[in-house]
Amino acid sequence: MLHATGLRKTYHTPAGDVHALRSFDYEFTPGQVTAVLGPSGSGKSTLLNLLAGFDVPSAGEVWLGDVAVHRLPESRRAGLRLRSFGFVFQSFNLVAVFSALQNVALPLGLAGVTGAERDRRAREALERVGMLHRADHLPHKLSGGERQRVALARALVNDPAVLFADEPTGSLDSVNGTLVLQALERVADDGRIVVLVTHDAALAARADVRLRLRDGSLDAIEHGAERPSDARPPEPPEPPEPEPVLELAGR
Amino acid sequence: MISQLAFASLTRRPLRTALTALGIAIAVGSTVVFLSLGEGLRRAFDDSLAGLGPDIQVSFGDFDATSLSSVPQLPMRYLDELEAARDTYGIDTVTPVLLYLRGSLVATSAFVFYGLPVETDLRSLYRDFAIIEGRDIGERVPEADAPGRGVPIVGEAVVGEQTALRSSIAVGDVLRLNPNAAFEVVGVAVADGGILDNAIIVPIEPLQAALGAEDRVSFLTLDLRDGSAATATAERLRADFPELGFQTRTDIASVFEEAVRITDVVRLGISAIALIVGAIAVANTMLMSVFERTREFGVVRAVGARPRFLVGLVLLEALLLSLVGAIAGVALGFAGAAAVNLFAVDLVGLDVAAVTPRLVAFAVAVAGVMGLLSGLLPALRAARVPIAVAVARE
Repeated sequence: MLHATGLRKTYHTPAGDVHALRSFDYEFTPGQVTAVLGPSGSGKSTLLNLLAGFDVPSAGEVWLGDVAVHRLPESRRAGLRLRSFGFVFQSFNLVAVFSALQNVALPLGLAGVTGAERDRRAREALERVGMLHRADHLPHKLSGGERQRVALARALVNDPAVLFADEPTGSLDSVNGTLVLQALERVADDGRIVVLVTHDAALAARADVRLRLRDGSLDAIEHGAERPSDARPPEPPEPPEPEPVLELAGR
Repeated sequence: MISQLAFASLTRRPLRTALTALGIAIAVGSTVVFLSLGEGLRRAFDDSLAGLGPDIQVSFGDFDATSLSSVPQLPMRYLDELEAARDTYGIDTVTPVLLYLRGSLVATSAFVFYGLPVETDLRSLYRDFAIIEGRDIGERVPEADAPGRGVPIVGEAVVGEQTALRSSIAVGDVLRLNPNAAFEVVGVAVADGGILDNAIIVPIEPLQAALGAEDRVSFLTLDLRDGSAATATAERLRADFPELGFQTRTDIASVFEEAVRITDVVRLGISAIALIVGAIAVANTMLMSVFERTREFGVVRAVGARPRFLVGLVLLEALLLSLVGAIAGVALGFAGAAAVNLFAVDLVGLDVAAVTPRLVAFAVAVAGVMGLLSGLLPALRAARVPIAVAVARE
């Protein structure tokens, strides 16, 4: 489905060439959470940028089905990101001037969905992550966990085949981190590819597959999720309790 | 979606947006005031020109010195034809004129007789025409045995001030046209430098009779309902009456227009400085905005926006900013032009500044183009934001 062969990325700097990714070959499996692990500078983010079409490789190939992602011009890569890829970032990356609803509606608007249909689908996506009650709030009025759930709704609203998550729990406490992780697992259970970039070993332990990078190369592949024995089927996160006093105070 | 994002971005920093719009407003406002001076001069000139004589003069063939010969050439039937076709050509009044030059070896005895229908209101043709002594000509029954060396008085005459002074003519004098006709002077008139200052105005019919030219005149003057259509109307008339000559005031007007255009260029040059400063303000605001929103642009591109979406977004923001500034600027321009006129009326008796619809359209268009041009560089910069760098930015 999504596979990379001979993937390499070299940055040319005044101080000399930097080989961010030396060699990467792997085929990602739908229905699985694949964690990409490694210390800083091992090439995790570079790999994600190349797989997601944010950047082009110096050598090698990235294929999504029969689409050669590495050969697409930027305008078509944008179309691929819009319809086939979803993204969740560590720092949420919501558009600050847009409400939660508008943020989720953004990919729909870019895809040409308009009016009531756009509104309906954006509300449905927010409902799935338990954030409909916060639809009209601007990002700075939301907690970190809430923002990440809005970002997840935005990533999934166009029903992508692949979800990329770059340190999605890095800015969250353990409770919210677990909620987001459960949501990612549910996404994989829907038959999508989930690529999770993290250096959190505990988080990676719950992934179906772990790819360990070292010095820009794939060092090891580990299979088998170590999900907690009490792991329940994924549930939508419960809406947090309303905070009427804070709301009235115009927090 | 793009308009929502543009509007939200502009209102995110309301003070900066307002100050930038104010800069554009001042630039556009000063441009409007500067250029309104030209528009006011044009309008004042058109008004003045309207008082300088008829809109169109009709002669038999081209109008030249021979038109003042002793034999008038234009048959009177054209008067009836043009009267009948007034609606076709937008003619308000058709006035027959008979010019007769009574030559003499002595300059002070040479007169230009200007025959007009008695009912002609000369003030409508020559705005500054005024009787300064005596009265206007009226109907008069010819007297067979009047004084004046036995020559019958066939009508009354008003003498132009210059002729009166030059030839020592006063009210009550009798002017002999030929052995068969004389006119009694009943008034002296001024016309502020116009042809009438040097003419003797008499009723046309007795003049025609005296010259034996009852069926001919020297020329016809046409006053149009819309004076500004004179050139186009004259063109149509030339096509329909090829045997006649039609003269307009276009020549004078075009000379004036050329002079005003030269001053337009000078004033536009001065305004351009203000406009460039305004454009720099917009460009600066947009560049700052693009820099601050690098991450936002990266995110928007990450979720699927094409680079041209961001180009359009930034250009739209610059355009909106400029148009808001332009609207405020036009309002400032109206106020500024009114203030200029307040002083100008006292100083020169004219409204020298006029904010015309075409000036407003020009100012808004200039502001729009200014907005687009000044937004171009920030827009291209926004589109080139590398996604991977932008989304990782704190």
